[in-house]
Amino acid sequence: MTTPEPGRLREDLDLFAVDALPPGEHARFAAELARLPAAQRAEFEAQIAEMQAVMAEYAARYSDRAPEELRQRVLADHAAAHPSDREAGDAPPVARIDRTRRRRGRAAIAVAAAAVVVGVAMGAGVLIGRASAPRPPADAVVEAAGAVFTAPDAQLASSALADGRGILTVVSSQERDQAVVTLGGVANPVPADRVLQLWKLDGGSTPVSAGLFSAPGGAPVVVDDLAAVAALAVTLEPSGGSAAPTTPILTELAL
Amino acid sequence: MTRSQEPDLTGLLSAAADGDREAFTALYDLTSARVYGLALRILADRSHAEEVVQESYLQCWQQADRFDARRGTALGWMMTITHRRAVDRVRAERLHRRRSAEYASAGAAVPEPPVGEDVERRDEAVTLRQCLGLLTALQRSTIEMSYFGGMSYPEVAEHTDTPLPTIKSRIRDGLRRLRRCVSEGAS
Repeated sequence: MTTPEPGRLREDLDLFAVDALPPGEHARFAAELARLPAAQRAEFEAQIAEMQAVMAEYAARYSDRAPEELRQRVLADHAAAHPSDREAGDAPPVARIDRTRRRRGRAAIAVAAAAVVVGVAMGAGVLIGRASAPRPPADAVVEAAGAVFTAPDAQLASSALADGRGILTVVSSQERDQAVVTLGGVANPVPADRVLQLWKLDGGSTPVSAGLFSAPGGAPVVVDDLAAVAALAVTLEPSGGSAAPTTPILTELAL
Repeated sequence: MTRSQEPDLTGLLSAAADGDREAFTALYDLTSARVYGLALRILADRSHAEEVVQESYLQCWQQADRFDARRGTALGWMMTITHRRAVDRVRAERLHRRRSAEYASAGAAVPEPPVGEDVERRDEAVTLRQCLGLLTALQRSTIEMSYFGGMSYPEVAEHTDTPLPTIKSRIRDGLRRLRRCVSEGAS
């Protein structure tokens, strides 16, 4: 092993800082930097950080609004690794599913995303991992969502709406005979005089309204009497909702 | 760089690493436009950029203990992580071939700094802008090509059909001048 040459490292320091060295040279620089005497290394590392901060500032010119769906994925990654009660043993099924499949399944990510959406909508992380904790304030939606999310048979399904209207995520429990439905990842918000309406389909007769999604990332819709529901669907309706669907179905999700 | 904002981001980063979801949400909301903008600029592909952003934030809170506030800003550290990941991906995917064509046709045009930000940010942008003004056009375009195009200096040399030592010293001299100028302007 050769002794690092501070002079040569000094030459390449700024190129290293901005990832402009090809892979072999980059790795060699990092290795030699690590072998420098502490004081010398600290001086070089400070200059590297300084260069990186300048380029971070330079890069501000390219700032661009990140899609909402990405935000939910990123927050879900963090939420999935940090159950709110910090006790993995008590984590509900949705969190467990998520932990094992987080890096692979988009569906699993969506579960955590849904949990985040619900958690935010309820104003606190009251849902995940609180199966045995004191009950949240008496709010029917909070209670139903908490019960469904922590049900032993909780199942997840999700589906993207047409036209970038969002991603529908359904967490359902046959045992509870209920489902909690959230809408997130909206790339194309609906106009102010329109609303997304959720419908219950039983396979035969006309759809029955299950509720309205007031705002993206807003309160979830709780569907009761799930046993009688074959599928859920979403359409775009005039604000206030309609008695029956008046536009094409944006997504349909069989239960 | 953003000294007044920095204690905030550092605190948020540390709280996020400890599992504080509100802190992480705030950190994301304060930094995502920068992080995403950088990834998108380098990759020129939304789905690659989104994946890089997702991986970068994961790395940020998982490795927050490696961030040393005495040696740089939290934002600089996060952007460095993002840059590294974006560059790794652009090289793995050979996306820079497309970017090269883009640079060849459009030149390395740089947009103006965003307007409407707070006063301090504008002051810093002035410092940076003045320092960028010290660079030669060639220094600046090769830095752009390398940093925002994800190219290593040999790739820039090949792309611009310029001898390797010439390109290496051009990028290096430009970067060094920029770093020293901003550092003097800030002190």
